[in-house]
Amino acid sequence: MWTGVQWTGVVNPGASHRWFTWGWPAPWHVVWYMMPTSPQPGAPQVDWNVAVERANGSECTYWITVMNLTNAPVTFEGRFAVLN
Amino acid sequence: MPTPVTPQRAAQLFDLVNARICCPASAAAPCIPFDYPDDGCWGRAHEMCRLMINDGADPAKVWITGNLTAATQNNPGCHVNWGWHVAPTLQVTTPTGVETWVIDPSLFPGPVPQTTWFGSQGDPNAVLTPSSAAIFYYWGSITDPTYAQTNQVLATYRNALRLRSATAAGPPPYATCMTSEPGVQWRDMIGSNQTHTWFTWGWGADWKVLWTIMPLTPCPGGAQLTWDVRVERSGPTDCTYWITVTNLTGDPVKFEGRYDVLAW
Repeated sequence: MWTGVQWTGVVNPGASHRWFTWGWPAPWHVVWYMMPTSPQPGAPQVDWNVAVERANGSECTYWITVMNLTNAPVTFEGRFAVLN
Repeated sequence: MPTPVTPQRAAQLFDLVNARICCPASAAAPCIPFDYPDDGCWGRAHEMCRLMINDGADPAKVWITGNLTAATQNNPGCHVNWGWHVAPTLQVTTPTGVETWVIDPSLFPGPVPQTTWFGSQGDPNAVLTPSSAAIFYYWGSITDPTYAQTNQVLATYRNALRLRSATAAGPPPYATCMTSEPGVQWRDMIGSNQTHTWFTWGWGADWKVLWTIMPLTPCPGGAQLTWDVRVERSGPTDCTYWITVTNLTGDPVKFEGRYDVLAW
């Protein structure tokens, strides 16, 4: 397994925003997870979901929607892990 | 002689044309039906050349005649038979000199040397004939400067792709043509805008398992599938995963359900 940070982003209070990242080899087993970089103790800050598009026979595009659950802007890292 | 390009530029041009692959069930113009390899190569080749020329490239074409057979996951029989075939070519600068590479998304996921393309079609006695990109149909040196015939060929085989996708076999690719892969639990199809739940039982409850879904049916332009995982502790040592897949598109999508065991 190997991991990385694909992007950093910010989501406004109560808002959600979708990012996409393309050109990933389809045979890779990739999971996505978010990590806030603006500390705000007391409650969850972000939630996310992942959708995927098969762009062609060999590559895919991930569409990642990040939701800010707080009343303050949240900056975060979009992280991935390639499992296989 | 066309101006040579770098391998990187050849890959860029491949991606340019491959991005036009049809979503099989809807196959809306101006997509190129690379996923219907059975026939229509001359239309695909001419359209690919048009796109590459518009992007500043200088492609040519190569025609192959023989008793050709090519393996493919995009025909329910897992292969296609041709008496001839055609695809665009580029002159590519390599460390060993300038080579002819072929742009053929119906057969390969990237540009390949002409020798590789030739070797994939099953007839060592096949004959290769180069032509300029302007030749639409080799026999008679027919050209199609307005692309009217090209569009007609593409429309014909988009329809053929739609019809095949509407059969019980569904859209390509076809699972019987695919090798089993480690970490793939199942392959199936989900209908347009449908949500469906699959379950898989007998997993060790102490295993740390993650599930992902990967579409197999290409359809560029937006997200196709999303999924949700739930788990049932079915016994002291076992659990059952319930995986709900949602198709976000108006086309049926073949997909595979994948697992990775992070720790035992």
